[in-house]
Amino acid sequence: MKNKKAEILMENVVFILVAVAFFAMMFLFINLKSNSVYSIEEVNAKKIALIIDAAESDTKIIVDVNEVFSKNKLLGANPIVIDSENNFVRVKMSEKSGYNYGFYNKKAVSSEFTEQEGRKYLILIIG
Amino acid sequence: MKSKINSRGGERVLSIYWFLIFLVVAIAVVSGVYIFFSKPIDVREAEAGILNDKLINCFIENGKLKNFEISGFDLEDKCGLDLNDRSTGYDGSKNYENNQYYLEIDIGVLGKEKVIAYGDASYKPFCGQEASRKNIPYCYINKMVVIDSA
Repeated sequence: MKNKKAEILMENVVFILVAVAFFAMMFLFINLKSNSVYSIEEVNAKKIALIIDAAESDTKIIVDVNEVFSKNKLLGANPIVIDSENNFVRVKMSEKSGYNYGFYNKKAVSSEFTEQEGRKYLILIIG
Repeated sequence: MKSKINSRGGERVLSIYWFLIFLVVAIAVVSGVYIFFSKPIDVREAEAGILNDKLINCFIENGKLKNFEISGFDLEDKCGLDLNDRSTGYDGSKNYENNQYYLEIDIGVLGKEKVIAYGDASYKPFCGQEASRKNIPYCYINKMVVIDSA
């Protein structure tokens, strides 16, 4: 009788563990995909391009780009490039990835990076 | 004894059933996530709205229509726009080969219409067709009443 109870308990424990492992794997998979460099690059390139498009002359805009820098795999390289000559934003965080997105605002755009309280910010100055 | 064997067999069938459910859920979640993240993020609505504001600022000043010559009107130059798409994918290839925009400005002054069109006119018929929920160009229409300064 005792063995039977132990057996039932063991089966339930194993089943619960399998279920927990399954949902943990699903959560990890979704988390991994949503935080992949590909999606971060695309989101940030489009976000910066839209900010530049919407900006008026003589504007200074500060954009939080900490996520890009914290997950950047290209050591020493700047992951965000704003090409004001050719009107596009490039976000490249690893060797095999990179995303360019164009902006249509012809105004001169200069950019610089700053760090405040350990977070990286992009400062856009629209001429 | 017979019922005991049936009970064990039933448990096994139930376990297989549960694992099948896990498998189906896993396939559904993985394929759903892949489909969701494989599509580019759609910012066309925001982009079209900003472009619309830029054009309004280009043609209207303080609620008055600016004076301009329609013949030889260079929209990109006059409105400070660069409408050449330079977006590229992960492999560096160009995302789009064709012009990505179609702009049309209809100005009706005392019954005499001025129309300035720029870009790929083949996108125009898609206006108003967004409800079909297909990957078609996004159309943004804005009508304004302003004073003609001429």
